[in-house]
Amino acid sequence: MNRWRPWILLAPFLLFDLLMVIGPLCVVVWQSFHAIGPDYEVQSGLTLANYKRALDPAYLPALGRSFLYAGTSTTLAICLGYPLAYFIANQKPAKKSLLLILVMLPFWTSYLVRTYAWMTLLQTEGVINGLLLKLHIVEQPLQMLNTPGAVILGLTYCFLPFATLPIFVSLDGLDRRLLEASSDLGASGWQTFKSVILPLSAPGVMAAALLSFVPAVGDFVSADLLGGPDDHMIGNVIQQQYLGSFNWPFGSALSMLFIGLMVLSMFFYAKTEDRDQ
Amino acid sequence: MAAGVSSQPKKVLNLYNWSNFIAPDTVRNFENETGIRVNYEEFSSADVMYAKLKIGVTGYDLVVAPGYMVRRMIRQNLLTALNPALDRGVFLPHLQSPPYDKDLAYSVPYLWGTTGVAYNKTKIDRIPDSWDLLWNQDFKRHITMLDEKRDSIATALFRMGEDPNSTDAKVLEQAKRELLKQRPLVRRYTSDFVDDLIRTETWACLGWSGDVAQAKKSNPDVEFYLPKEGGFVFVDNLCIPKSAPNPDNARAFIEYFLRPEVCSKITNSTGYANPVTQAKTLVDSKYLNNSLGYPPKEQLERLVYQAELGAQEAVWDRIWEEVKR
Repeated sequence: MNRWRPWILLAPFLLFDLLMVIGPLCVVVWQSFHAIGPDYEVQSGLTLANYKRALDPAYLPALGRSFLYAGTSTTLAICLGYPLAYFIANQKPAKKSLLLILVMLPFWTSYLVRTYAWMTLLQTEGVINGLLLKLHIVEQPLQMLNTPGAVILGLTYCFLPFATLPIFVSLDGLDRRLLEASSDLGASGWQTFKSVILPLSAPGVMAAALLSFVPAVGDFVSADLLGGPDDHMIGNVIQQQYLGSFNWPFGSALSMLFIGLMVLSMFFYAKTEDRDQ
Repeated sequence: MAAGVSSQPKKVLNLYNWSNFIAPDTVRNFENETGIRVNYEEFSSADVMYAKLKIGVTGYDLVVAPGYMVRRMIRQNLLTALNPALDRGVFLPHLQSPPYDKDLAYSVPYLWGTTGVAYNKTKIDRIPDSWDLLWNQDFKRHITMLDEKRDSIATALFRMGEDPNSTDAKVLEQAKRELLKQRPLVRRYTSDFVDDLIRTETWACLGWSGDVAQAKKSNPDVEFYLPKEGGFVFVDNLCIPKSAPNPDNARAFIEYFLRPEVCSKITNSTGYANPVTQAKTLVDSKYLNNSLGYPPKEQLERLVYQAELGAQEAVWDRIWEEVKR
């Protein structure tokens, strides 16, 4: 009985996982080895053609952009999220909860709606250009919408809370006595930050990087709405196959290769982590 | 309903339509008159609607489907034939026998429109008449193209004087080259072109007539024309899925819609022309004899229906993907 107890307790979760995560993934794997017929129906014979096509170098630019945009936005989100988390962690408990709620607030509206709001801000005759023109900072309105910068901005904005929260958790749990010890031993504020706070919050930063990079690299909404024709990410390519060309098997093959690449990079990431510790 | 099962037929209609594709009071008036409660759901991509029916989501009594999708859905046995058939004589002549459903056996024309060029008249000092405007170097990064392979590739084909439904690989390659030449001028490939047009973010774009009519309501500088080289006419249709739980109520809505006073109101609200000949007298005069609504006869003659591409559709898919990526 005792031996089975953990499994019984885990059963609801495992069942959910099996039905809602593993199940759909199996469908994607299955589809990726089939061809489509003239009416876009999945045909019965097995084939590797989708994978062969997915390895076409023509898809590399979109893949490269995904890593570039997601990497840049993750770095920015951490640079912005760290001071924010530090500030919140140093507040009194009541204020702390209020500020944390404010960080979470954007989640109460859909990502899509917030991205549309950015379109209004960034457009040629939009709020930001209006302000810049009024203050005579620019003479001609800037072209900000439908540029790589707008896509990175959209991603950074969206995943900033994902970066802030894990860093906050690691900073909030910091043993204050260590900071006192550091200053007692004559370290300056900067030295304390560099040699005590930063290393101790590193796991939080790593978690933040992972939590904002993984969803950003597969995102397609930001590139679709804020980007131009040359800003497509791998998520857009896959979405186009599913809803535009209606080629679900090929979209599945692209997804599988992408998932494989992500798993591999996570694996190497975990390895270097282990070595570092 | 199976014999022997005594169950009161529910007075419900599950209607699945494009977003912004009906007058604000159509559903309410229908409910008040018939006592049928309408569950009204909207989609912004016909592919999503089709995908739902295809994978077996049931519960829709009446869906609005574009012509090319009607053809596919008939072939895949997803639609119920209209029984009894409708009198086609009530429809405008060019809608009585569309190529996707020649006898209107499965589909009832709902609203129709055309593809053409929308532009902002403050950005140009002559009146354009050709697809060339979408290749105008002065409009760099201020042009949008529809994210629809049929419409956008056909734009290049019309301009080249080729068949807009071409299945000739060589011609399609040529069209691709034209679209790649145009690509640096394009700010994005999107079917949500209306907002950009209103905000003058877009100066010229490939657009659908009724959507442009909507844009013009907010920005009077927006104009629209059917290029001299020709354009597509498209029809969205009311169809009853095989899986409809309440086909009789769907039929009731179809008959209600076909009343001139009902469908003319939808035209005046959405900007899209309706198919009923008699309703023309009730339509806002700004849509009559105008490429935005009911194009005059000589323009109607330039219009072409999208044809079946058959196995060559894969070539279109590939070309469109190569243009966009």
